[in-house]
Amino acid sequence: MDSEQMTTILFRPVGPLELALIEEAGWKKFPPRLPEQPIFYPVMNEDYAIQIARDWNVAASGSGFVTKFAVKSDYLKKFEVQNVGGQIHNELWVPAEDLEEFNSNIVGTIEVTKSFYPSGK
Amino acid sequence: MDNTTLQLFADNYSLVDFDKIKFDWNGQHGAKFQDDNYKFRAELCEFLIPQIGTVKLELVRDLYLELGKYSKEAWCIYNKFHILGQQLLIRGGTDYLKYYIEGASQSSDAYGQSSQVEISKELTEQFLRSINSTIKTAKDEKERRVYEGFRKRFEWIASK
Repeated sequence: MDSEQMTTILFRPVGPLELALIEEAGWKKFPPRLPEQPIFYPVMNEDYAIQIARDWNVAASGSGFVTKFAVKSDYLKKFEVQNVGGQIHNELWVPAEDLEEFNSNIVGTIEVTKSFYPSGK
Repeated sequence: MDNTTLQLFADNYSLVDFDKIKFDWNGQHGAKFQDDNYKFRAELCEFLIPQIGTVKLELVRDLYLELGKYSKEAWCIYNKFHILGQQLLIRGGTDYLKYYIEGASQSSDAYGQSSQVEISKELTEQFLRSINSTIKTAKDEKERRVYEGFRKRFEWIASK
């Protein structure tokens, strides 16, 4: 396969409000952030994304969702991979100012692979 | 804003100045998101980071906590967030551990960035003892789960 055609699968755990804006954008891109110093974190392992969506997003926002998307592998080489806690806890550091460019390198659509709600609901 | 003004603000910081650095959100997200204090807070943080070891710990704490709140609604995190958290841990010890955890718990982005702290083994052991004690006396299930999550964090730091 041509290296330009290769993609890397990434995940991002999100709450309901961020998910609504992703849907509003036709499942094609993540909503913009303020530029300059902030960092946008996609994660590299679905189990880690599940942990965050289930344990953090549900507690903070009432529900949590795991999004899955493919990004051109060549493009991702410019970003640093950061381990934040264990074997599966790898994240990609994407400066918020690069998010528009990052979005344009997403191939296909952003899918929701898991949804979490408070237990009993 | 010039450096003299920023330095004076930091040197004389007290509760009455909190309104200038607090997360001042318009309640919107994505492209409509606005935090009226974002620019000043970001400028202040960039100015203070090189001298962070001498900045009033109350100011470091307030910046850290407000950046955490920002991250929850802005869905991203300041890239030097962990440097502020590290100061709370090193200079504030177990008394400030709760603030570190509070800021780091605001969002998945804050959680990730706050993991980049560098602290001594001795301090890490102190935090683990303090966390274990809090878990035993947690006031509710939510607090217990949060502290169990951070026990894993500090065990990971200790293992590095």
